[in-house]
Amino acid sequence: MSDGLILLVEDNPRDEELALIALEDSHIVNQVHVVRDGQEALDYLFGIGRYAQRGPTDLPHLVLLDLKLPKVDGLEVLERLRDDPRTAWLPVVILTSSDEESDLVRSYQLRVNSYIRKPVDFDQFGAAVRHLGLYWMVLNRVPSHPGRG
Amino acid sequence: MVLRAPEGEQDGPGTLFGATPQPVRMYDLQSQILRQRETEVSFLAEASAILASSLDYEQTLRTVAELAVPHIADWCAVHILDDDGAVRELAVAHTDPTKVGLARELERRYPPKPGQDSGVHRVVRTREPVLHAEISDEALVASAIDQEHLSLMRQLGLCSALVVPLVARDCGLGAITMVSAESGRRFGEHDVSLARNLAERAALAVDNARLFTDLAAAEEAVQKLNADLELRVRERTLQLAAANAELEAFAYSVSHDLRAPLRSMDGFSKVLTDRYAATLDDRGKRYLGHIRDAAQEMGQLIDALLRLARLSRAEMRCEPIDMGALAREIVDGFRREGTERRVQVSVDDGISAMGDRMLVRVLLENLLGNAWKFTRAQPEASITFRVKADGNEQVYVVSDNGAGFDPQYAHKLFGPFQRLHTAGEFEGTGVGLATVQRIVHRHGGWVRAEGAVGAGATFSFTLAPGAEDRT
Repeated sequence: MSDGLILLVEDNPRDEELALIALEDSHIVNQVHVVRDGQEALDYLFGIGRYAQRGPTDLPHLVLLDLKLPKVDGLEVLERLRDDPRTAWLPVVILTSSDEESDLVRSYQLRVNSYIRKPVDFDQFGAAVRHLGLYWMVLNRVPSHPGRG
Repeated sequence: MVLRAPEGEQDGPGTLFGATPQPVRMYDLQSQILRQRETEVSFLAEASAILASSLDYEQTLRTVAELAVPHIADWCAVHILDDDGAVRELAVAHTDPTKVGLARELERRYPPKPGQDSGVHRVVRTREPVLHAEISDEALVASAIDQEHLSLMRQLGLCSALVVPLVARDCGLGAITMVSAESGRRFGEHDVSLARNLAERAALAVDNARLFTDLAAAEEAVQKLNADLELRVRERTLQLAAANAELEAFAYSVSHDLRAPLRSMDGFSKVLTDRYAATLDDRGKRYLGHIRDAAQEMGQLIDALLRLARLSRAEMRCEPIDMGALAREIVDGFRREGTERRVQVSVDDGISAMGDRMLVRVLLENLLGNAWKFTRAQPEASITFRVKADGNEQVYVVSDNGAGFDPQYAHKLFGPFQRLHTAGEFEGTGVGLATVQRIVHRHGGWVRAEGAVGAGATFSFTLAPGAEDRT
């Protein structure tokens, strides 16, 4: 497994716990940092606000992003990330309850890397997390200097 | 000008110049009659042209009255019966305006008493002409109210009069009055028929103009109604759009917020089952299983409801669909995903339709899926998909030889969450046929179910409004 960090943007503590359990069950041992709303996600990724001491180039390997979030919603987070050259290519996977067509369309317009609907059935959810962990953290390759070139 | 007919007066014999004081020779008389007839014919022709020239019948009738003096009569008056039943003087014509003033003065000072049944009023009511060939001074004295009245009437010098009704479509519209004075002319039957001839044309003109006015008013009313209706449609559309937006927001919220707690219920039950298996006995594990089943079931219900809601707002795009190919494709899917089953599926060749491909697929998936599900207990399961022409309608029919249903409850089949089988017999959300009906209705068609317990079910549907010819 890669040593990259996963940023989990999730406002529901129970969903967060289940996601961590699913990652653990899938033997994905990467460090996971959890933020609770869209604004905190942006602060973390851009190294501002309470994350000002964080280097802005110190990006996670993968962002797991919920859509319905307090303050700044997931689609807006995605849009801000894509608008900034530092995060334009950062792998972002939407992990959400919604399978509204409009959310899917908007996410892909904003160049989301993947869109997963969280199933109610935890067996299916576990399988989804296992697949996406393996794919994005192990198989997928990203440019070493995102934003340059 | 209202002519008062003295009671008991005898109508004199119809003579054109019966009371002319000078003796005339036969030749002169004949040529005079000829000239008079020519005058009458050209008067009628001109009057007709005037009446036909405009829909303002009050103005044309005034012009015709002017035209009548002095060659047809010394005086000509037109009265109109108004909607409220009152008789209104529309025109009084005389070549001398001072005489007209005198007549008006008479009318003003001695107005006809309400309900007085004489002269014009009687003619309007009876629709019969009245001729007073000779108005004698005794008659004037008899009808005079007082000396001044008599003196005014004498000043006018009335000596002969006739009144003819204006009648159109069996309705009295008014009257035309002709009076002879200074000319000394005496009216006769010939003058009555001339006046009747004029009255017929005038009545027709009045009737036409009124019909036209009514029509115009009706048209205006219809236009106003249409405008009102359009306004109301616009308002309703706005309300519907608002309701739709609300429903959409609601569906969105349902999709997000109702499923999240279910995930927790299912997820933590699973974690308990897996990680705390050692501290749970079999009964505890079974209960946790029930919690998970219930959570997942509710998740499926929410998803089914959302799909149903989505079908109602999805935009439709109609295109030709090979229904047979679509049905085979769907059944192939069932064969791949399900357990090994012997099902005889027969699909007619060349079943085509016009419809929204996505929606029609969902419709067929539901109907064929039901047929697949409810034939589960049949050792020789059979499903058919056919099309038949019924009048100008193309009717699609999905039949199976499965469990069927009690026709007593057929009306409940298409309601959301209505199920005629227990969850133990056949699984399902109870939204499938509601979905089918919604899709059929969105195409303007109908759907019907026939069946009996243990004797299979047949679902017939159309995908177009019945009135439309879709061959």
